[in-house]
Amino acid sequence: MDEFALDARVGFAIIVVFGLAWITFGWFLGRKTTTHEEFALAGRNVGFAFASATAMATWVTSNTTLVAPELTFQFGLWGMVGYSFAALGLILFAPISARIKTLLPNGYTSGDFIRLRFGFTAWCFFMVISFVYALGWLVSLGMAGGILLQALSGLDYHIGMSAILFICVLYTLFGGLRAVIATDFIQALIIITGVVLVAVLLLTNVGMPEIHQNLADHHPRLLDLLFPAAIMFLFNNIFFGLGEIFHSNVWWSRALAFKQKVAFRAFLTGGLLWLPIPIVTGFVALAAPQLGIFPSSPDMVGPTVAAAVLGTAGAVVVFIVVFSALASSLDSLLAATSDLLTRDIYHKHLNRKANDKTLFRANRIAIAGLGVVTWILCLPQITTLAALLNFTGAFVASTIWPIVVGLYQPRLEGKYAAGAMAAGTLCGLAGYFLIGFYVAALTACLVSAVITAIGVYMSKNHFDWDLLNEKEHTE
Amino acid sequence: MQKLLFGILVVMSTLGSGLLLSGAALADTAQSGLTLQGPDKVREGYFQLRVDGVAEEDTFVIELASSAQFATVENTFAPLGAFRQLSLSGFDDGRYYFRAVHSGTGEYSNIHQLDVVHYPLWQALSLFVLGALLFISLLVTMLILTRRAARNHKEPRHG
Repeated sequence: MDEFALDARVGFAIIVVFGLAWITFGWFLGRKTTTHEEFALAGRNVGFAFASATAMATWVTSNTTLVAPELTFQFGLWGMVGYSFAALGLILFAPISARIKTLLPNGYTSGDFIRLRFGFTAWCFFMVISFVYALGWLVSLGMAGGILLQALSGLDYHIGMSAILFICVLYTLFGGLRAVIATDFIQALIIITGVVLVAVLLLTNVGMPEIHQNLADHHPRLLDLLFPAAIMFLFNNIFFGLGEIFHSNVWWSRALAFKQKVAFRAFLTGGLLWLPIPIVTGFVALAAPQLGIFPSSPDMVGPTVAAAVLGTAGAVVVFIVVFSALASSLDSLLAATSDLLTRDIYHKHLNRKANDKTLFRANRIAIAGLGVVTWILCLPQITTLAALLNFTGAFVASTIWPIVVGLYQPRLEGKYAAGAMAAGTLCGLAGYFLIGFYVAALTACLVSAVITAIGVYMSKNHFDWDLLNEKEHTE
Repeated sequence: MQKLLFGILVVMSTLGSGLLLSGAALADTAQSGLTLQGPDKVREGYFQLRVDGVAEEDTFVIELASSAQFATVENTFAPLGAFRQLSLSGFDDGRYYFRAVHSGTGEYSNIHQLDVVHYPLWQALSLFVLGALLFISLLVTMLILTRRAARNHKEPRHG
């Protein structure tokens, strides 16, 4: 395959059209937002349809559209099946989200819970983990935008990356979480329609027996269910997904923004809708060798194969689907991380008397600042998407047990939660560098589980859940 | 609003103008002599190979053989577009030999030897079992804690 599926100018034109549409929509939705709570949590009144769509669309991201094919290209069948298990994160977050909504009716962020439940030391560790993860994800999304454009149209990585970041920062800046959730709803419809269309076209255009024969002859490990690295990757990926969702303010802010009885059903539905998507996006990578596609970087394989099989029209569909997926995650992450900066650091530690107007302004400055930092970090394309994401697995998986136990069990003291997160992260990083990425999250989760269990056994505490219902002090 | 949208268009146009200059970004500067680089040993069966010394407008393929003499070329791989690097995956345990061939001149690169040595299965299955036990523990813990919380939540109403 010598030519790119799309002309670079067509790719850029699609970005401009969709970018203007999202930005105008963001402005339209945000024009009546007057308070910080409306901006940050969409008035805490999001209904079931929007809630399910935003849960699913936010989780369909560069992970699903670019990394699932990448991992399938590298790990074969286990790559796509194992990746779909990341849906367990959304599904298991369903009961947790209901608990969050009950315990923190006035809460804003995941940082609020850690600070009130476990104290300052644990909060510090948690914030470090949160920001490492948020920046890792933001950078991976920015990179994915550049990679997508480069794979489909040959456009320079830096131009695609800059354009997608610019668009998402702008409409999040205008509309806040309300715009993020509303655009997510539309993006979810585009993603589902596009993925189904690509799957149908692929199955009717590509010969399954030929693909199987080529893999069996020249790439046999991709069909091997006892592929050692893939087996090691499986549970690591599950714990990585659980850690991502359980700790991240992207999901906590949604739990707090949804109506009281909506959160459980919305996350469950979002998870079930998401489950088959990595299978479809990953499957396309298995056709790459048969089509003679050997991409420069494995994270380019998904869109490249889809475009090669489906032609220019297919490339346009793939482009729009992946662009929508990236935007739906990037905006969510910008909004949620800026909430952490505004609420947990600025309001709770730097300016406790800040009024609503000041917080509103601080939130917008945080969004713009995050956009600039992400852009700078994306400039050197230092690693592949999967490698970058899996590095953060060591951090986030260490939070699973302290959060789950901390939400339900009143005995666990803050010092044990802090120890579990710190030791879990350090051991996970040791595993990442000494063994490989496929043990980072597993090691972090295991060490954290042991320390949390010791903490529950040793602690004499009986936490008063009413302390989580913090009253506001804004003027 | 109009000024704002106009501003956005200006920024996007500026980015778009960079499009015209971007063609060279994918291409490598031509060097004398075709060279092939890659890892010497991998444990997961996937790797990347890079070719240097090919002019922007020229193309090449990478040949695979199971002997250093290249008595039989078992497979060929072409890079995507103007890229000078490609990714391969799914290789079984074994020693593989690669070389790049210039499509126009027929010039060969150096021969690159690569060993694929997968992790032992016992190591992979040990981690799998460990992960499964940890995951089941988490599920059971969540189930117990959720049920207990639901029971405690109901008690005051009946009390």
